[in-house]
Amino acid sequence: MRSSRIALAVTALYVATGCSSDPGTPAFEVVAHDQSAALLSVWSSGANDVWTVGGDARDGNGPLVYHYDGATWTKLDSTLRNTDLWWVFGFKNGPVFMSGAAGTIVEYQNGTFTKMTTPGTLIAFGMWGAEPNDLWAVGGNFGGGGFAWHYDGTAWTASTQVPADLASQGTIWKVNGRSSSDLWMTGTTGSTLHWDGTTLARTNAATDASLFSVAAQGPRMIAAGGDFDGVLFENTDGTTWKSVLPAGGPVLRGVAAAGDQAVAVGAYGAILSRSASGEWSTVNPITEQNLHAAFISPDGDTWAVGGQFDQIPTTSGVLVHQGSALNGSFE
Amino acid sequence: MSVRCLLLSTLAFGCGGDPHQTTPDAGACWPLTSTPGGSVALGTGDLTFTPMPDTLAVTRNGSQSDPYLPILARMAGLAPGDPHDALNPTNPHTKITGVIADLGLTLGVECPASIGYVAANGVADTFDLAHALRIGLGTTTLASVDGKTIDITVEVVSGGLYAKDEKLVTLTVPN
Repeated sequence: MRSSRIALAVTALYVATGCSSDPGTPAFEVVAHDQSAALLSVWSSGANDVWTVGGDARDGNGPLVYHYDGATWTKLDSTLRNTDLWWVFGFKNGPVFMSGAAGTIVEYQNGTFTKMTTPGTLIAFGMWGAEPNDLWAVGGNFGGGGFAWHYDGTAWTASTQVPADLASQGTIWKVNGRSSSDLWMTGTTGSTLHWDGTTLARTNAATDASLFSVAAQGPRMIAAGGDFDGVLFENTDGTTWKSVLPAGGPVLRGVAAAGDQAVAVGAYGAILSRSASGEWSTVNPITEQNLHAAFISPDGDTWAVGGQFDQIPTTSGVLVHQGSALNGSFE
Repeated sequence: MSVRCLLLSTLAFGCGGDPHQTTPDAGACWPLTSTPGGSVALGTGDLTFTPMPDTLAVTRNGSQSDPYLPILARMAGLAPGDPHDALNPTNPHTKITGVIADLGLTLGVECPASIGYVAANGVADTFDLAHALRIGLGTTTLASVDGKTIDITVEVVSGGLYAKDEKLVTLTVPN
């Protein structure tokens, strides 16, 4: 049953080239599948520098950490054990930061992983920063309290400006922005927080659902999430979140943007693509796995990762890609 | 009043009539103009349909969702839509509701999902919801729902036709 559905989806991909594909646009391809744990985040500074991290299969080998240098995929040992890594974010030529369970944040530089001291033990679901010494990490424990931590190059410090209800009962899922004084965080119950360099100000979207991800696209911020069904909002004036998706679609877990490209990914392999004119449409599914996150590299390649991440341990990691030809194999 | 009728009246369906005709207006997305036709069966599972059992375990896993019930549906005599395009306007509209009368809880969301259906494996002319929809338990404590009865309803509108199925199910909470 499962295989026949996947075959149908893949066949449809090659026959129809996707619901929203333009002629000449490369199709999405599955780079890795059936990994021992879910792949949860992907980040790239370019075609020769792609990172993906994920869950820990509790097999004694630690969380999945892979790097692609343009020729070869290399599996790295972070030295962490029994720790899921939910996010990876970095800077061209380093460092690269990875965050996850139990308040874990590690810094990778020059071949060495260094575990950083953090202010808490909840899950660090997301990170973003304008500079290596001006970095934010956000997270929480679903329904059990959210946080925002800031790194100044010396130490991580918990923000005291997280609204009380989010700090006590919510979660801040992701953070993304344009500069150190213009970034957004999204969380449970439609919560969005804007950091202007001084103040963390709340501007909720009109939904009770979680906003699992947020991405910056020029003057536009895009937030994606859902509960029973998916929600997708855009904010172009800094204050108002406008719904851009009809009710009833798949729950969305990740959103990414760069240049005039934007994608949102989610449940059961859902990939939505934003056209330059602002319309969102469905890309034919290439996997039935839940997609958790996406990233569009500076050279325009689109990556998405997922698996069975609504469970511990996570399983069934998948990595999909659209763009320039890849070399090497994942495993 | 029977328990079943009590549960249904919670949804303002009433007993003995056409429930779809008496469903309160939950907003612009529901109810949809339709006439009875086709059929739908309530089920569970993630991707593979299993008829709804008498006892259903709450799924609680991961760090990004409330505990939930995975719900699937199998339809016949209704247009299946496009399972590869969740935004296709011809997709069936599937609405899932759960009522735990003992707790005074009505679970589910206002608007239906617009997920397409795929051909059912080995069952001619029937189609299964492409993937599960979730009845989230929100902040309800698991201890409070353990052993409770929930009335689960699936309603589908496709091509102007409406079908419904429902079942009283006992919830369990795995350790």
